[in-house]
Amino acid sequence: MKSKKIGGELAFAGSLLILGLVVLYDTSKMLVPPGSGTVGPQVFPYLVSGFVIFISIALFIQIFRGNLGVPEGTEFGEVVEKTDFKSLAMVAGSMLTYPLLIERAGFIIATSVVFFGVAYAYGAKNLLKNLLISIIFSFIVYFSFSKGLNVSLPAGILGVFE
Amino acid sequence: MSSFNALLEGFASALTLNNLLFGLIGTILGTLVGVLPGIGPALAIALLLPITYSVSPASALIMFAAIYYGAMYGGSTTSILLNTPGESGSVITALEGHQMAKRGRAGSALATAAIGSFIAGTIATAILAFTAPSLAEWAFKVTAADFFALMLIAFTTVGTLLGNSMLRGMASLGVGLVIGLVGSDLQSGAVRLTFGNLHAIDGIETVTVIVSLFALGEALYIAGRAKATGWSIIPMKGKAIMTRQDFKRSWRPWLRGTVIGFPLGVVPAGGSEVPTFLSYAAEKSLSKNKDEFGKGAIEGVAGPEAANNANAAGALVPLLALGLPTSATAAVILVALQTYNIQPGPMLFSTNPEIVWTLIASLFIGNTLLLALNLPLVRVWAKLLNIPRPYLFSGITAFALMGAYVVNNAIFDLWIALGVGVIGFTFRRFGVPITPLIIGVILGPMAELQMRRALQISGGEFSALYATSMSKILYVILFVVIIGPLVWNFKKKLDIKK
Repeated sequence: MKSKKIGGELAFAGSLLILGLVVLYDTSKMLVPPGSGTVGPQVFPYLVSGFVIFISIALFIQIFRGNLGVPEGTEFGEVVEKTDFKSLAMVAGSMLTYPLLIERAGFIIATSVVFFGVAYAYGAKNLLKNLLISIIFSFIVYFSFSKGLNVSLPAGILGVFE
Repeated sequence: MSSFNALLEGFASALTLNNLLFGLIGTILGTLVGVLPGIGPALAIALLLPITYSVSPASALIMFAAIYYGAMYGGSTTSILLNTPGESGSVITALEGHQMAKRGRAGSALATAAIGSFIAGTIATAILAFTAPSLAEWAFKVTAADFFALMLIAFTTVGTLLGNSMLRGMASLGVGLVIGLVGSDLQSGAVRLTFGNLHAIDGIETVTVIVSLFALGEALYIAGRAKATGWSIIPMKGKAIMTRQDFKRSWRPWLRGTVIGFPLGVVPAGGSEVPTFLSYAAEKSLSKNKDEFGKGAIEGVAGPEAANNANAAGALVPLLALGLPTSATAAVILVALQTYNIQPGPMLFSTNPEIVWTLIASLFIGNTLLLALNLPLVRVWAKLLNIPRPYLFSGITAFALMGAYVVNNAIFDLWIALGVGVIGFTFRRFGVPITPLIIGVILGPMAELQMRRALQISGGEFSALYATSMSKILYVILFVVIIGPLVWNFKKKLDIKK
């Protein structure tokens, strides 16, 4: 149990280390335009990468000394030890459909899909009710923003009805 | 008295019927979104930004000021009527406020919070109006090296004061600095961290980062890591009014809260946690009714709520005069002003004085509208807490994605938003605070600019960074800020061993 906990922490510190190394690599390969002055575009990124790498190493040391992070509390009930991967995947999956649908299918459909998916993952059992609320919500938001506030939102395949 | 005249002109341009209408809408929307559980002021403002895109700058400013105060007030309503076990900003108000609500005194708690916020906000905005211009004038003498030192202090205080672990705060800051690097360098045109992506050359939108870090990260985190235990809403009985006794016990805490909150907003102290906590501690030690604390003492709501609002106005001083955001909320305001092509900083007061004064006048108006609107409508706000959790999160997610998309109407921004959402989840999971990342994204490029300016003047000589007496003083402060907590912790450990 304990070693598993450290595994996640180590992965976190590791990703931070990789991030620092990526910045370091990118900066060293950077094409510096001529006439960039005495202090070019590379100085600050080098400092940032050094900082990130330093912090990640310090984090590794802290983790090995048993000093682990305290997961954030929420306003929504108890924080649990084990991640509920099923709900997490459902929410993440719903979010993923949005960039795929927004311009192809339009704002109303994309929003209905993400709204329905997230509500379902969060335990909205009545599918018909959920579907209706999703569609009504999307319509209201679409029309109040695009017509009322002139914020341009893609109409998509429903554009023919306008 | 030129400030005073300028302020009157600000009122003149803000006080049209049209603008008041926008102010009214802003107040309602700000409170509405702020009341929703899980949405703090910073996220509320970020989510509502698209609404202000299409209106004229003056109307947008007044609407925005109203959203700002509305969101803060909405947040305190939530913490009084709902038990909030986690969220740090509202913890202090919840301590006594929720106890009062349980004893059927929700009305008094909400009233003292609203009136206290109004008084503190008004006093603090008045101080802001008279201190910010002189600070801006003084800031003309501040060199690039001094600015760089000032930003290092802001980085450090925000990184160390928030969350449980200084190291994790710094990790958050580091990720923010990296995100801030992405795109073409403004001075040389060199392209950084874009990996050949053409969209990335313009950099990553700060609004996208803020919205997805808070909203998408939270939606993922709650889905994956929190078990629904439901929440207990205290039904709102009676009206939000205070008795004479309540007033007698509240007015001193209001004023003390203002005095504590404002200066801690001006210096980079990392947001409202420190001042609200200090105000609570002060009220507890000064109160004649000490035994009531923990069971619903009105002083414990009045003081911290006033401190919170005064703090928010105080944060506008460095923001407007120096262009330096010191909290997540101030960072969002900076981004909002930039979308109206307003760049806060010393230049602003001389180049666009009318905009500054319209904004300050708008803050007064927004604050007043809020008081007039909120006390009668408090039962309506309380009803919002009954929105079922699934639909609440669906709505937040949908608005966040929309907010990320409409900045540029670009799908690229949505992919970034999802990536940042994952970062938000990871940070919550490993106890890494979020605000330092936002400060890093915004202040990182500014710090680089100042550093390069200072070094350009000196011809690359690094000693130029600490050549002025002001920068020397700032580095001493920086040293104390870093070493202080370490020494303090070490001493605590020694004491425990003894």
